[in-house]
Amino acid sequence: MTVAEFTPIVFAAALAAGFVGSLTGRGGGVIVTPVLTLFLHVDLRYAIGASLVSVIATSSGAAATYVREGLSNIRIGMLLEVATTLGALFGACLGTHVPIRILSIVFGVILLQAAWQTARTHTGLSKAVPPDPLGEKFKLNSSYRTPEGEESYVVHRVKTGFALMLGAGTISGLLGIGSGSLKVIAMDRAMQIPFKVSTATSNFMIGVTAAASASIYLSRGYVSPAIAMPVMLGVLRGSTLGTRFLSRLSVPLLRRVFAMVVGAVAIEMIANGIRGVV
Amino acid sequence: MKMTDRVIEEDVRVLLKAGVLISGVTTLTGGILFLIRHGGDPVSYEIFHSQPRIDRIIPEILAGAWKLRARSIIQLGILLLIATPVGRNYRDRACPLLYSLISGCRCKLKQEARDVRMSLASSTDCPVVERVMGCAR
Repeated sequence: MTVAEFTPIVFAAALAAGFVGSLTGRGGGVIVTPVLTLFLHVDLRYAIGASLVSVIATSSGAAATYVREGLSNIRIGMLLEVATTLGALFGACLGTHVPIRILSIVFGVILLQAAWQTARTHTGLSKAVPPDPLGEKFKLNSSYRTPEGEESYVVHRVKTGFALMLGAGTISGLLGIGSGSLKVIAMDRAMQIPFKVSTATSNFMIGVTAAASASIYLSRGYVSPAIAMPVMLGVLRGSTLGTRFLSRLSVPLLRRVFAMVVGAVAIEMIANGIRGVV
Repeated sequence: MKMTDRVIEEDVRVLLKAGVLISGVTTLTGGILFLIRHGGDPVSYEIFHSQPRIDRIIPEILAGAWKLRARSIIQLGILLLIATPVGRNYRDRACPLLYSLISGCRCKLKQEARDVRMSLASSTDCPVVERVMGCAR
């Protein structure tokens, strides 16, 4: 394959990844990495480097739009990204020492877990747990716009959310993904933040998290310009398109599509890791 | 409170958009040059080789981009992209005074620095001061 053939294929894949990624609050790494490794037979380490770049592109591109729509909670984002960034630095250092077969399996397990969590329907947890006084202290409680008007929400279990974000950051750095689903889970499930706000805020945080690990991967030579260029440009375009649809889509549909895509990818990655064809 | 948050949101939005746009255009430029010069080259990424120094060490990337080397221009665009979310943070969280001083030294940002200083002078109207105080409380 020549550069002139490889580039448009990767661009098209990245375009799709960016679109789906921004709809589901993911950085698109979940789609970019498998497409590169499973279909184009790119080494997982190149894929991680390119994916991280795409993750920053999606996050920043989409975050700008979400911020305008008043969906992101910047205060929550800024508090939690302290945890995700520390985790990402740790994960990136760890990632350069772990064999890629193991990485592939870990990747798959993380995705499978994300798919399972997302497919479950919301139970009435919000009634069982009282609002966290820390949410009041840090002024995290806010409101967001819905078709029926402004809807307010209170934040629960801030410390649990913070701890989960440390883990999400580590996974992000280790696998070169935004780990948006883990971030959304931490906010949506543990902290009881509305799904759309969680998704938008997650997008806001992913950029900083990925930038921390991307700088490590770049200096270690994981970021190939020939792969990263079409990935970054494709994802940027795709995510811009995707954000325009988010406010119009229903949350249950969003969750189902998300779970199916991620689940299928997960099984493939685990199988490849076990068979050693990474 | 709601008002100052909205001001910060607007700042963040502009910064993110500008960063993404600049890095995107840079990468695209490098990409077009790369396709023109190396479009016919065979590629294979099945076996991992760490990128050469020129594509991973920041001063060498800058030097390469200065010489209009296509891959270096792409890497420069990626560097700018990495800097975008970091810059967003630095601007509104790190230290407003330091920011205004640094940007004051740079002619292009003078007007913006003046704006920040002015809003600092008018105390709590400044979103940044409000944020720092809010966190300290």
